[in-house]
Amino acid sequence: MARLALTLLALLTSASLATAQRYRPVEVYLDSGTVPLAAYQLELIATGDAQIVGVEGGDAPAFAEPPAYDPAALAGGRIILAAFSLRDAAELPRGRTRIATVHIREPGAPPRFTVRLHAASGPDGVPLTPTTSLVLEQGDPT
Amino acid sequence: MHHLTVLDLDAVRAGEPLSAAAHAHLARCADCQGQLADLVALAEALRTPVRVPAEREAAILAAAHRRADLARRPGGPRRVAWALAASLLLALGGVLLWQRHRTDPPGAGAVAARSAASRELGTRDRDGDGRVTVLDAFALARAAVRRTPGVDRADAREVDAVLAMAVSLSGTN
Repeated sequence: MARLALTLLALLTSASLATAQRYRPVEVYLDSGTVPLAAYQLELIATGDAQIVGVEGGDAPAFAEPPAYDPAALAGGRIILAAFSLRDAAELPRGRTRIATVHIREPGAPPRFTVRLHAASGPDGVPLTPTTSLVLEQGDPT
Repeated sequence: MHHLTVLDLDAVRAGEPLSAAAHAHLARCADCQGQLADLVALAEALRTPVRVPAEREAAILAAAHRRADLARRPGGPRRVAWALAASLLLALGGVLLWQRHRTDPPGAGAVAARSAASRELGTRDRDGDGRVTVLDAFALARAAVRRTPGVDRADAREVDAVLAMAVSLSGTN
């Protein structure tokens, strides 16, 4: 009897884990080294069972507002983010900085994330190639 | 300076001399650059040989002769030339429209839409890298700020439009 109860409990737990959906913030970072970052455009793709549900701005005051994106992205797992700032170079972020956070709904297994830089520049408009990185937060199951 | 007239823009297209002020305005005015791009596209379209049916050619010539006869009265040869040029242009435009309407295959609307999108991309791709990105919006915003201390609404709208095109997922860029 105890063995049957344990088996049922295990089955229920696995079923619950399989159907639980998770909301995960994905932080997007750019590192422009010593050059101030004035503009960027990048593409984030979540491959698998994922839906983009929201976009937040970054840490630096120059990029605190949410970046531009196509509202159609909110129905799927692919989004292009773009923003620029006309602030003076001294007010622009340098080094590694979080430029946005994308909130993802994960109904099933965790998706795979890729990020691709489209364009970036310093305050003078000269193109840059900052490195991109993502930080996947743990997320909250619902 | 005000926006350039269509005649000024066509002179630029044809490589004719224009004042330095007009060139300076054109270099920083997205509207005028857009109109110039349209004129260039129109000139390209007109370069394609047009087969004019005999009866329409006769009608065009008859109309031109009538205008020329009228213009021989007071007004002088300059007026004759303008009248002739205007009537020929109108007639040619009419024939072109008629011929396109008659020969456009199914799906020509889609081709026209693609052509319009291509023109839009051309005028908004300020850095000429073949696509519209945030850098084009950034360049436009920087130019607008340099021109006037406060960016006016038209500039802001155009910057927003370029940015929207840059992040679009619909594949027009």
